[in-house]
Amino acid sequence: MAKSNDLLQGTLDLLILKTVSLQPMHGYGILLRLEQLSGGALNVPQGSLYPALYRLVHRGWLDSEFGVSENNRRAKFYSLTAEGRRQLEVEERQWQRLSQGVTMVLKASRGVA
Amino acid sequence: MIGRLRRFFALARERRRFEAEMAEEMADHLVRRSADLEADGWAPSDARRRARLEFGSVEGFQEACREAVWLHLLDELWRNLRHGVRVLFRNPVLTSTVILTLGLGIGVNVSIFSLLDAALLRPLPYSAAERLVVVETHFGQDGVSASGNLYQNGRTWEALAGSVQQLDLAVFSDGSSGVNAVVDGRAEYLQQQRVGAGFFRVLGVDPLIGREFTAREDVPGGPRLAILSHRLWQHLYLGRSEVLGRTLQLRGEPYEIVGVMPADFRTGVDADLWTPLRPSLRGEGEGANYMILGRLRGAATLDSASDEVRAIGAPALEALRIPAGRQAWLGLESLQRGLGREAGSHLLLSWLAAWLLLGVCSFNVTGLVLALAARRSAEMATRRALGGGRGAIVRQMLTESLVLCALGGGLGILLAAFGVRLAGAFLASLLELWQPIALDARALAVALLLTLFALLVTGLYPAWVSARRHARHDAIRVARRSLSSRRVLVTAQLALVVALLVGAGQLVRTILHLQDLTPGFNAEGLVAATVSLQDVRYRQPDAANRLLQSVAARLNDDPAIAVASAGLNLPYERPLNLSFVWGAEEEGKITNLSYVTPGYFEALQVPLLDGRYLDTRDDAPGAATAVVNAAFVHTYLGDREPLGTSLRIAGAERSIVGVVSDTRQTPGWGENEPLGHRAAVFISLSQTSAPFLELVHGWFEPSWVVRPRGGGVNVEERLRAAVSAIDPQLPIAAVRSMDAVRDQVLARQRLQASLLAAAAGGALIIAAVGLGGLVAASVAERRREFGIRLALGASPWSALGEAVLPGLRLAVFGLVWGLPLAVALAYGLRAFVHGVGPWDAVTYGWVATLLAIAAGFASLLPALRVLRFDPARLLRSD
Repeated sequence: MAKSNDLLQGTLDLLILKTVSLQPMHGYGILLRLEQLSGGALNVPQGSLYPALYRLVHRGWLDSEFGVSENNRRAKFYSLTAEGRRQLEVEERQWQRLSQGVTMVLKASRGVA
Repeated sequence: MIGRLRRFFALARERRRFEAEMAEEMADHLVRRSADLEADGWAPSDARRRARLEFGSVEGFQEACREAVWLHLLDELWRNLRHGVRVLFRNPVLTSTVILTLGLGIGVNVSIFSLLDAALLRPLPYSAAERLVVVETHFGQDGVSASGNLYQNGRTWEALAGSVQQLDLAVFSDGSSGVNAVVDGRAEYLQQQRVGAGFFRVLGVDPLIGREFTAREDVPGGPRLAILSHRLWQHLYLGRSEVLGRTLQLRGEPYEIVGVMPADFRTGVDADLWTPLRPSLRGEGEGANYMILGRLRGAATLDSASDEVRAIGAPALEALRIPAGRQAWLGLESLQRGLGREAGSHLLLSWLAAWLLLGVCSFNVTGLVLALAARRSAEMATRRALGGGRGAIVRQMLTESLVLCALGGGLGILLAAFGVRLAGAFLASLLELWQPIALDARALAVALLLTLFALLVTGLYPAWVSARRHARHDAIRVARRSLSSRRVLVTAQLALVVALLVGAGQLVRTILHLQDLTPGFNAEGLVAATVSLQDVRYRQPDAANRLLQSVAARLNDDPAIAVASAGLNLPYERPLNLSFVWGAEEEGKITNLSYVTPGYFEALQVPLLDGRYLDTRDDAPGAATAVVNAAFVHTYLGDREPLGTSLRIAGAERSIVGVVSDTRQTPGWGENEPLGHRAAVFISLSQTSAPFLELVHGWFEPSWVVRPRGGGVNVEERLRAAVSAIDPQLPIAAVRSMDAVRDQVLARQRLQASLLAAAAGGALIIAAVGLGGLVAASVAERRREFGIRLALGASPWSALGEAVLPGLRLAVFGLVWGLPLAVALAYGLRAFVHGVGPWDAVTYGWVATLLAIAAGFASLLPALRVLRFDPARLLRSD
């Protein structure tokens, strides 16, 4: 199983779901969008995107369909399913809780019992 | 999970497209990336190289994608299959043993399931068959039924017919009788079933052409009508529709054909044609001869209709002589369960035996697979050492078991196809099936389930054992652990075998017990010849008497024949039951009746207890006489002096002139012992009436009983000669020895015992083979130890004892573990067992002996290798 080295386990799935929730996209487009939205902070190894996409389709959270892209090339587009939308909400909430928790830990200062 | 499985199977079906699209998608990614890089100012060739570098290993990610959607499992399965087949081919003896064993276990199981399915489980082939019921008489106490009987008498039918609101009812006879027919001058011997008006309507089957009998026709003295089976219609009339209205001669009288049934129609009887039953309270109405079929009307339920039948039928049962403290009442049972019940319980028992046999087969195969696994422990250890996952090894072992079980299951289906044909040829009539035995989709589904069961039993444990091993385990330790698992398996097999043997032993002992019962007459050398007198020429007592007596007289003149006579009933068979009254009493009681010709008791050698036998004095008209048996005196006379007492039976007042001792009969009504003593009255044939004879000959066929003077006399030939000299037109239905008559009555018990004995024998052989294999393996494992002992001067014979002992010890364990199971089975079998207790010492003694013999041979043969061991060579090896 390919894991992205730079991202927390499972985070890539959340990011993909979020990106695709904005509009259906092909793999390369998802990658560009991620880079763009994160201001270049997130660097997803390119090939490892695909096993993640296939896993999400397999779980029924994404749909995939061939279509024609902006430059008239045939490409496989991924879109969110209803189940995927629910999953995205769940994962977003979890992420919020996690990041709040981490933030609180990091804010801790000496002397507080 | 289900969605994922569905997507997996969808992908597996379109594997090629999946691969192509995945490759296209990744290639597209690379093209886009290099185009972007070119736009950033990279040279085209550098852009392509850099794009590929950034992406990483395309093949690696493709494999990761396949894993993400589980397709790698498919690849692995295919690899494992090929590998498994190679491994199995490398071990041909073991593989074929496994396949044969599983095939046997599954084949036997599926065959018996097919029988059970036809008898009990598969819905009857009639429309809304679940609404079909049969009337049942219960005998019991306080409303709790102790036994039931589907046979009804005329009183029950008279009470219910036309009175029950919730049921559409019809009466029928569940047996068929052979009749002589003449069609266009050609003689035929046909099987006829008698059914009442409405029988086909209630079943929900319309005649193919023509009509069924009406209620006005189905009365004594009604017109002679016949409905043909499709087969007979084709055979006699080549399927021509103008057959309606034509006549055929049955037993000397013309019968008009009013209908033909469809090709696939069948009842529980192998009938060529159907004639009206004509239920009547006169004569046969007293006998428990009928079955009553019903279809629930409208909103009626089995319970509500059952209550109605019970209430309406109650007065009709008062005529039955029910012992004090017991009651009889009517109820309903679904047609399917009612008819299948008796055969079904026998078949369920056989199925249980088949499962035990399959258990033995499966454990045996598990042991063999373990042995194979032990042989390959080095391979597995290497795989684990190289990083092979535990799951992968489990999957591979399971795949190999899958191949074995699939082949075993396939062989099992072939064997079952054979078994079902065999059963159809020999057992269909014994089981009174209302539908054909077939290896259909249901049986195949069972075969599939059994194969899965075998896979679970034989595959999981060895796979788990293989996966548990670590690379550091050396081969000897692995072999030892495999041996200890196999010991447990062999013990389990032997335990199951003990249970099967005890079950079979109980049934075999039952048969022996029933055969050894004192019959009450001298069966030795006695031959019986049965004829049908359902013939207009023999309607008068004089004519029938003349026929039976003249043939007997011819035989008595023959110096090779000691004595010959004739009577309505043979011992062992089901007697005619009939009501009688004492003197002026109103209420009838039921007993059994047989007519005889002079010399009957002398021919059978039934001892006389009091008074005299019936003889030529009783041929004279005038004062009618009767002889009763001891059971009759015991049941009805108590302390009263039997001789001179008179009773009214079969239309005449008869005075008892003699008491004979009891003979064994098959029960009819409310009794369960297979062969018992039943109260009976014997009268002289010449003192009967024509209407009485017509009625009883509709149900029963008289027989001559002939005792030759010494052995070597061809009685059948002489009998046939005598009959054809008196009436050349009269066919003999059957010539049988009295032992054959008894065997026929016990056929079902015998079948049961043979099936169980065969299963037990098969299981014993399989378990013995398993034990032998285990002893061989343990001798092989310990050969170094034996080598050292022999080198140190131990005698080969003591080494042999040492090698044999573990096998015998396992047999003792098997016996100990099997005993509780065997006792439980013996208690469960009590309904099938007669004259033998669940703790029957003889049975257990035989089982222990058989087990000891089998275990002795199984241990000794492989252990003999010890005698050929050469210590010097053994110590050099390894």
